Amino acid sequence: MTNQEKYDSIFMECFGVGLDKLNDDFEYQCIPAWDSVGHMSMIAALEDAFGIMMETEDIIEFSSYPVGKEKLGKYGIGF
Amino acid sequence: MNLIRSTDPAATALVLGDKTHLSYGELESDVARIQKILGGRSLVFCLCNNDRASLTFYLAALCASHVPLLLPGSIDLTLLRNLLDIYEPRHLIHNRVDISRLGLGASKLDFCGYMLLELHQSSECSLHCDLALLMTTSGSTGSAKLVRLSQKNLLSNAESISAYLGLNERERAMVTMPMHYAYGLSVINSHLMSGASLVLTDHSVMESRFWKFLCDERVTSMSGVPFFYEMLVKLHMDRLDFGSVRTLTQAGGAMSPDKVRFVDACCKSKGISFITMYGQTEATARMTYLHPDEIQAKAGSIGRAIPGGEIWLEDENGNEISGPGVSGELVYRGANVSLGYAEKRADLALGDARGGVLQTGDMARRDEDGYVWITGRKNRFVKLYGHRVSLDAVELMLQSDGLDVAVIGDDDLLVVIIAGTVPGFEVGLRQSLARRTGINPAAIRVQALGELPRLANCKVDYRALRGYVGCAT
Repeated sequence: MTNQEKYDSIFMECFGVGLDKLNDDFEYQCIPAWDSVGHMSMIAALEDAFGIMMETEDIIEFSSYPVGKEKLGKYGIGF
Repeated sequence: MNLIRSTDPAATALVLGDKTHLSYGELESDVARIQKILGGRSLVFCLCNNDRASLTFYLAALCASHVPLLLPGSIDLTLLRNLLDIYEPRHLIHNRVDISRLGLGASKLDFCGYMLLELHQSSECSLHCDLALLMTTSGSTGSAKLVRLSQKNLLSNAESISAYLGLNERERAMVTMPMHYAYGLSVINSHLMSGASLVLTDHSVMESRFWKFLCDERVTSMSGVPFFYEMLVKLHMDRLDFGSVRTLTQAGGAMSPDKVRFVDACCKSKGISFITMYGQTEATARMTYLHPDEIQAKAGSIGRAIPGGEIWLEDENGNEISGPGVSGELVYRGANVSLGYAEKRADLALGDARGGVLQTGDMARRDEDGYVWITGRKNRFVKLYGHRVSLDAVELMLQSDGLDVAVIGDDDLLVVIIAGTVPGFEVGLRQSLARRTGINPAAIRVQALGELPRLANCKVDYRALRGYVGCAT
């Protein structure tokens, strides 16, 4: 699985949405599932999938689907 | 009843999300204006959010001797309809477009985007004179079972909390929990009564804006349920900048002793007092707290009764248990013990059914030093092959292994729902749990879920889990 596919599948599983919803407008609290609880489980899933441990500022600034990719870039995960 | 005791009208009562500061003088004049429009005593449904309008309507209703029922602002319409049918309130306060479309009645007032609807003309009768406030027993599930609270309940609990936390007008509390939730409301009540400031935000600790706001507004305290602390730990609590925060309180469910000690150690290194507390809506909010000096040695204990309260344990025959190590039901006496429950409109005419004594339904034991520890909930037991097994005890055990689990069950069946693990993990867990507890693996089912369903207050939604798995307890 490519990094893009891993990233997408975690979003789809954590927030229960289809691939078509994952675009630049998909952001924190845009759906009820992406609240603080959803955020926490998504971060945990990403950390597991990519074998990383994210810094505080990256977790709290992870505000949208596109920003998340930039954040993962800091840990050497390319898209 | 007026919860506001501030003698300084220029002091800040509320800091709003846009950083506007609202003084006690301004708040009181808003309250007085709404109070006039509300008219004579009636039942008022308030759909609440953590904003200026919800707080003002709540305070105005109390001041004018109305009886508010606080409901989540996002309550499902079907659940709301059901509650409206059962309790027939005269007023409904809300800010929802979908409710306006229901054509429930004319709006008597528009305040900060909220509407005050008059639904019925004649329902002010049959409210008992001691009844001051109604709270739900299970927030967002829309259960019609309500807790009946008196003016004495609210005032005594707020005064007691203010006393043991040492609140004063210099405090600035971040309101991190919904006000329809007893713990959230207790933070609001105790701070208003102390002349302190409340800082309102829609953001969560998972957003950078939250932390900036917290520092900019020099917030001095925050409160949260165990999941709130899970999030802080995930955010590397030791490295977080807490700005001016000097107090963190925790209640709304048990945290594992290890986690309590960890959070407390982080707090101590930052000069923050961490106070764990225990309570129930049935006792307005708080019943006990553990002092920061005792927390490392007694993490997980509920500590001592709040000022004016008293706790003891009773065996199955209602006799007091005095010695250590024996489990019994925790009983509390205090002026904050609610009048009782309501399940239908006629129940609002009832007086005090408890006489200041609450059978908590929580099982507890004392240790050798007299500290009380909750061991489980009375009605969260299952019988496995004739043996009583506490679901909470199993849950606590697995949680202290660091697992994200909830345990439910039926007689002869224990169901462990586990979240956030790799596929196949269930098989090993079933075997190890059977080994550790001596329960036959045939009585254990382990099921994986992506995430545990949670209520608005972040507690595990056992009702949803039971529906999902098909269990009774």
